Amino acid sequence: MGPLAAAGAAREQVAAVILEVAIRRKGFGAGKAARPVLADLAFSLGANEIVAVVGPSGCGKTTLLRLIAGLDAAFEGRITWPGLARPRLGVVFQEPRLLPWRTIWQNLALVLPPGQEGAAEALLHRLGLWPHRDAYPGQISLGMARRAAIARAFAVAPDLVLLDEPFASLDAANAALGRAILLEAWRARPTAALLVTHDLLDAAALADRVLILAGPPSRIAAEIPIAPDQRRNDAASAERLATSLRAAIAKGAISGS
Amino acid sequence: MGFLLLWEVAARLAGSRLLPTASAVVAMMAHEAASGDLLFNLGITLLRVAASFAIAMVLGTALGLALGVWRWLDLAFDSWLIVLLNMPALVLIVLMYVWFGLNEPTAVIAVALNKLPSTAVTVREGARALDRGLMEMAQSYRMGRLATLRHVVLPQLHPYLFAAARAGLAIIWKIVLVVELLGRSNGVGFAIEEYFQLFDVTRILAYTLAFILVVQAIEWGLWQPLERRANRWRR
Repeated sequence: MGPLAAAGAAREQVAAVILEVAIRRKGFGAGKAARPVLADLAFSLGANEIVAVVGPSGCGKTTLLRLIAGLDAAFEGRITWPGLARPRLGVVFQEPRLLPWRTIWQNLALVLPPGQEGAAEALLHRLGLWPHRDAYPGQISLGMARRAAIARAFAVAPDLVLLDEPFASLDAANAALGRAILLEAWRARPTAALLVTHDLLDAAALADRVLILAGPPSRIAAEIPIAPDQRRNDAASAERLATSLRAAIAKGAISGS
Repeated sequence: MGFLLLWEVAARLAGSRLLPTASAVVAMMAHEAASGDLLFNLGITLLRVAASFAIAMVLGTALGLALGVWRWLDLAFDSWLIVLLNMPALVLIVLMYVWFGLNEPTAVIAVALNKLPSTAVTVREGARALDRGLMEMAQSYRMGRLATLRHVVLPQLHPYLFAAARAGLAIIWKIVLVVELLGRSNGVGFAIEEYFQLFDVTRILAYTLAFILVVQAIEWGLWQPLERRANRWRR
């Protein structure tokens, strides 16, 4: 096991664990070209908890999400869902991944479980998408398409929302707007969420807990809980929190692999 | 229109029984239509075309999709597909008639088998180019096989399906005529054979013209509206 610095004592008692991840090894390629990406990576996620996984580009964050989403079964270890027979996922990919030949509303309706139409409608209203519900994704801006992808993820009454660098390609102002929209969606429909990002500001603005990845192969180098009074405040305090997180990491809160 | 005019002038200059004028052919078409023979034969042929077309498109699309998605299947079937693709239509028809008899199902299936491989090959190209990101989206949102096929896969195949359908209709009606000529006692192909024995070029052209009109009507009344509908989302 990698050293888990700030974990242990500071770990909060979370009411119900919904996801347990224990990945022994995940690599790509075979034989001499084999390249381990993740190793001895373990954590759990509680209901309604937002956890941010932070690491540099190419450290295997997207791979981790794909394993949890069940899109890649080739790994050593276990991913279990205590108490959930068939966990329902909402996934926000790096690109919106809306069906271009279906309208915004159809894109949501196609994946909604029965009885969620009203909630989906409310989310579209809240995210300012309702006037565009009959537009095709190609007819709206990329920013709105991203918003629609976020609405879709929360509309399905998910047990867990997975977010893969949802603001990576946005400028600072739009990334801030994106975070606000994400929070808006989360407050409308609180759910567990796992956010992978390379940006500590995303983590500071959204998370209850931050996992720092280091490698390769990537493992959790530090687990930093965010105090309840510092969670999801305004943009300025998120900036301050991000700065102090950065300082704590630099000072050696992480000992690396 | 220009073509009809050119035809009329050329035919009048030639003045031969073997090249009737456009007006004579149109008049004959009207006459044959009025007598009911043309409509009966045309109807029978169209039914055969429709049945063969449906079989070739449905099975060809399914096969093409499977070949595009599963590489091992593609490897296993590739040489068979090439054999079938290059088999002369006439050989396939004759063999089918010999093995399964001169009956309606054999005729329809023989035609369908002639078209099926090219549909499969066209759709296979489309299936190889399917967007993996959207497939993953469908999988992680648990869309289900049928919904994924309908909302994620088929829309991506539309251009390929339209190409296969257009080319398919053109080739299928030609092959249906051969099948009718060889082993059926009605339909446009049968009629043309009869008039061929009599060297009645006017009637042969009248039947051909009637069929071309039908195909044109299908293009305008079916393919183009369908295509517009399928492409609504493109700006």
